[in-house]
Amino acid sequence: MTGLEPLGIHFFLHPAIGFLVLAVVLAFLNNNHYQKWRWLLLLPPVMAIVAVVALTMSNSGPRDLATLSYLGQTLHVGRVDTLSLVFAHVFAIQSLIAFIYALHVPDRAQHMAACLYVAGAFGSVFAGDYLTLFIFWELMSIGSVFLVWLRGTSASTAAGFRYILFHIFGGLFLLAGLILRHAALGTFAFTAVAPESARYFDYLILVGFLVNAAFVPLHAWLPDAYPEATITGAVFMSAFTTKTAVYVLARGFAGFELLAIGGCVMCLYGVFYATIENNARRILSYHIVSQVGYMVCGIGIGTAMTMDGAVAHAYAHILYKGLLFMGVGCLLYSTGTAKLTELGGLASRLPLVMIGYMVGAVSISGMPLFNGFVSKTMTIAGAAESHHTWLALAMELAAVGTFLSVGIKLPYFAFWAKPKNDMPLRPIPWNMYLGMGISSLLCLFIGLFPGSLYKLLPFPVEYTPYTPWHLLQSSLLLGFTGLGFYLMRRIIPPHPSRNLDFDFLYRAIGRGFVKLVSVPTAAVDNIWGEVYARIGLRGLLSFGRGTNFFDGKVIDGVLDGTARAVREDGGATVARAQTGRIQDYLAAAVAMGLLVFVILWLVK
Amino acid sequence: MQEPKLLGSWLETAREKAGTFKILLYVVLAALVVLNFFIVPHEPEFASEKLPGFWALFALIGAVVMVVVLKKVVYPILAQPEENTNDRP
Repeated sequence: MTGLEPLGIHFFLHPAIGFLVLAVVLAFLNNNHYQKWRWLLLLPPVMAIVAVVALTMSNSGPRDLATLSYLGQTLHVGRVDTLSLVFAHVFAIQSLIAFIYALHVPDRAQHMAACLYVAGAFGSVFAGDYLTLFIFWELMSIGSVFLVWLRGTSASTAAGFRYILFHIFGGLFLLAGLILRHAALGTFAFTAVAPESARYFDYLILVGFLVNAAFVPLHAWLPDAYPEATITGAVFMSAFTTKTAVYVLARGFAGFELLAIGGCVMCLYGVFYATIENNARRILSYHIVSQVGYMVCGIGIGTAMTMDGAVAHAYAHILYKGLLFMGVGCLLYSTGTAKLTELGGLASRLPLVMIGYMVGAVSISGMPLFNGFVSKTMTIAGAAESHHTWLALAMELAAVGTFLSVGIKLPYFAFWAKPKNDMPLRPIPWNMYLGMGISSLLCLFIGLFPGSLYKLLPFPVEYTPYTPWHLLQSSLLLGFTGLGFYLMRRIIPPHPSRNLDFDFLYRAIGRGFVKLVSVPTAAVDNIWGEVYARIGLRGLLSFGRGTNFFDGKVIDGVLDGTARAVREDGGATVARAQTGRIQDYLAAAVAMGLLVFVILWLVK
Repeated sequence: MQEPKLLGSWLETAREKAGTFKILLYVVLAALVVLNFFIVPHEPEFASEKLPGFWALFALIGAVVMVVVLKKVVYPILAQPEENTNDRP
């Protein structure tokens, strides 16, 4: 690769291209033949892995490998450096795992949504300017919302709307920030901002990023929507949205004190909510908030070691969180529920699912030998080393809470707790096991050979995870958390409920807005009706007599002709296209938007 | 795909021996605290970290307090009936 680069950009295969092409191809395929075309799903991830590994091996500093001219702007779609490569590396691997896990899904729409979503994530990671970033950022939002909607339940429809509204809200902050920034600085270049020189537009951009990072209190879309997504969709979503946000924060906003403290709040907030949650996928969602908190905190502290810790933790997190969602997804697929109160006693009937889940659980808890241990301890040690003792202690407490909920509570009530469960189980397809198997091996491999991950990190740092003290400290923390669970076993059992979080605030605001619009509108309408009845009606009646003549002779003739044409030529198509569902119209708008985008580019 | 029956029945047997695992847990925990007298942090960040058993107590108290406060105090305030998840049918 190194030798080819002087020749130009032609050898840079953007990992998003394969996914975008596949999304278009899928549009022309039939769900009935999915057994044949499903193998195509593995092609873009493999291409992405090859492309990213080739770029990693030719590691020759920061490069700008591809640009597009668009509407008089230059879009930098190929900014490649160690920071973007480490994220692209794990994105490529996880996209392969997630598509393997989703191979049995006979619904091209879900795969199209996943393709657009993953393409958006790759595009964001390689974006060198804010405009490019914004385009891919929005593509990610739109791809992912369909992974929620396509579950097809009333809960998923409602959660999907809240999800997309909130992401549009965040996207507008980003858009406003980047435009105002351009007006002030005359550039879209996406570069790091020093905390002391940040201006109002930088903070607008930061808010846009923080929405996707699930920064408390902008986080509630995550535990609201992820548990309602399709089984395979949640596996995708757990990997890309928040981690792309971590990437852009690391790129643009390292060293912001707000992030250091806010990250710690996220760590604890997610853990606290997970402790009282009953839905297994919502527990895992709250633990995304918590785990991303470690990364945001590391970025906020901003030393080389905490930055590396944050990036390493993002890498590890994508693998083990995907694994956890796959495990719970298998439970949901097989039993039809993810509620702990309805599960239990399944260990002997689903032993492989339990083992896969437990590998993810001990990884997220930071148990030695698994990948969470080599990344989490790095962030905490970095925080302690830079004398942020309280932040380090808060992260240790969050680690206790993580093992308590994800490591013990969830598996205990899902797999043990009750005597052997006789509920009917739907057989789980082989590919779901394969996805979990690959993830499990990777979690273990990185835990055993941390150098394989550390060598990808952006900053040169000396850190040895496997020292006697680190091993002992982790064992003490995990072991005595276990004892704490045992002592609290009568208090901790989950109850069926939905716990108040900030999404209730959004819903209240939404309902208030509808009232704000509908009440005055109704009042104005009443007054207008009155005025119309008293004054307008008489004049209109005489005018009406005149138009009646015109209507009868001219308009009817035209309308009858149109009606006949619709009935005979395109009526069925028109009727099918007009489903009355906003989701469908959004999809159509996106398709048309992409089409316009392509046409404009080609015409240029 | 079929889950392995042998592994399942082995886990069922293991469950019946939960008492043995409990004793094993106590032994391991005790051993860890004993080890803590000999293995100390390289660079303690604060004085109490040097005390043997500090992190054991930190985890135990942290877990117990977290569960009691969250389940007994916070949960009753936040819990809503599940059917409210869909605001409208």
